Amino acid sequence: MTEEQKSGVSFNIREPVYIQVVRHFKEQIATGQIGAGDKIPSRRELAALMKINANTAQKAYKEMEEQGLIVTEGNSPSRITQDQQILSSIRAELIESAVDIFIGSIRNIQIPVEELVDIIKTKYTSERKLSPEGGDTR
Amino acid sequence: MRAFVKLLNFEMNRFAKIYIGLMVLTVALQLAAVTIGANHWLDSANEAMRVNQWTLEQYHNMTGYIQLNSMMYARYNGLLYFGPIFLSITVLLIYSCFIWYRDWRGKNTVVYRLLTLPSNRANLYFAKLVTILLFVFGLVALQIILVPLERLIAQSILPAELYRNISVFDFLKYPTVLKVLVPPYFSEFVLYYGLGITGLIVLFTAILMERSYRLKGIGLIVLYLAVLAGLASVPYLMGYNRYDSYFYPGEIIGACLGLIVIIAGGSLWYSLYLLRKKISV
Amino acid sequence: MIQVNQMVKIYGFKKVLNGVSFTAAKGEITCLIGINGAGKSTVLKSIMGLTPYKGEVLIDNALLTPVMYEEITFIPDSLTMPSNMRIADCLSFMADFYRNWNAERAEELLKFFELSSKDRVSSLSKGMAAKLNLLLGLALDCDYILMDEPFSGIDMFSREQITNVFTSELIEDRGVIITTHEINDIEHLIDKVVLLQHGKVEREFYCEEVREQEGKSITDVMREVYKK
Repeated sequence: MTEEQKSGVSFNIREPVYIQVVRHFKEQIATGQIGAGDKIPSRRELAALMKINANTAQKAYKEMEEQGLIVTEGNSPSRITQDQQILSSIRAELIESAVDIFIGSIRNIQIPVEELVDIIKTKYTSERKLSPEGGDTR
Repeated sequence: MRAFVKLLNFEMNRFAKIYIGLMVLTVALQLAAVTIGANHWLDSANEAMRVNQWTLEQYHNMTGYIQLNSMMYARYNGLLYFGPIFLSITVLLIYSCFIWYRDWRGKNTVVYRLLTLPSNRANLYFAKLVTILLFVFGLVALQIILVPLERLIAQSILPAELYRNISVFDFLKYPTVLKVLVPPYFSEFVLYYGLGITGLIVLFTAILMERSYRLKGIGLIVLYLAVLAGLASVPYLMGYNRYDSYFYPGEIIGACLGLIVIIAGGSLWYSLYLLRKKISV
Repeated sequence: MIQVNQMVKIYGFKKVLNGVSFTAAKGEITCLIGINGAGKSTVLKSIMGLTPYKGEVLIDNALLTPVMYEEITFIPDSLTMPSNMRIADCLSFMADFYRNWNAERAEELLKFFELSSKDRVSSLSKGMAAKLNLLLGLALDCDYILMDEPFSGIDMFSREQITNVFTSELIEDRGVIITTHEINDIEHLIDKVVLLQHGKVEREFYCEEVREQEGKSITDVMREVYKK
């Protein structure tokens, strides 16, 4: 468990918490902070860690289980899946949805794509230097 | 029963400090009163013998024996001796109201806890009632124990030729407040304490009416007292103070006892009903 | 499950509650929200049988009886122990009267809340008093806990400690009803919201459902309701 995870996540108050928790796990997987087969906290631990309702944590895990992100065998704690196909699709999915949101908001400005790419290049690299973890989702 | 005993212990502890204070005060003042009184009588006897050139025997023939109750008539000794008794009565009367109101009062709302204990709320009521009664009986018992001690003090100060020991029973028979608190006859004891307990039950009922209905409860209390007054007037209507009453005295006394039972029983029942269904925090 | 059906409460000439109905399930945290004077505390007191009301309250389908005070407990916003008692006395008082008092957990909570059993109730600060109150309720092995404004007037650190309670196993499997007029700190901790307005339940909803189906925060819903 990384320090960042322990300090809790700031949530968007208008989005279901369980979806945000799932996304948080996906981000952690995509950035390699948790890897295939890693143990994940119990629902109670997760609730305490993220300061969220235990039933919501439960729902997030259920969702992750349905998406094949985590697997539970018998009574042992749940683990991140070893299925490489699912794991690699997470990264693609995250990038795609983030880019979709970005394009959705930039389209109205009608900026030429070359100029946009240049701006992104300079902004993105300088911002990464400042805060390697990136901002929150609020 | 277990809950009742625990609540009783809880209630008694909450007033223990002041109660023990009252006891200590009573012991100290009464013993002081007897010591001062005995010395005062000794001085005045010596003075009278010196002035009149009397022997002890002559003095004794002129004035009679000094007894324990004589001490009360010296100087302010009556106040010293009976003061703590009246103080105790007053304090216990005030506490009979406060024993309820303190649970609602202030930052700490003990009443929330008491009303949500997993036991019948009647235990709460009886714990408070019995607490007051035990406090009363405790002080009375203390008084009865104190008298022989006071006799010893008087005896040790006054010469045997002047002092006559009287029994505790005789001492209590003198017409003072003690005659009411420790009536020499059992029937009187039952009557006085029966009336006292009924009075306490009536007071508790009035308090619970107010705690249940607040302002509206005051109106209810007035109504309640009117009903009590109506019931209490029955003996008058029966003509207990007329020699030509239609009823025999025994019948009137029976009616009085019946009324006390009705008032106490009815009030008790209503109090427990209020506590169970109508009380409000 | 606690079911409140058509609860009506009149103080003097004022109808404080005018037919309040809602449910609070076991294993869920239900939050009763309303502006000050909306009658939140009155609802809790009525459920606990601390004040008379019209209507009906069912706890696991049964009417409240004194025995059930071992199933349902109330944590008011004021201390329920005489001020001359020490904290240790309070704990032994609870152990004396409640068969379901969990002394071991009480000791753990004492440490967790950093309370000293030698302290007198009268010497406690507002935050410490709130924590003692919480301790007295949480150390009972009961199914339902009602809390009246557990966060009001409390310093930041105490607030944090109390928040942690809500995500801990102390609450696990219990049915909790809390009242508040301020939702910001706890909107991710609760399952369900019951909005009180003008003596009635204006809305009763699960937080995640409102976020998912309407894209609204609880504060958004409150604004809508109270602007009306």
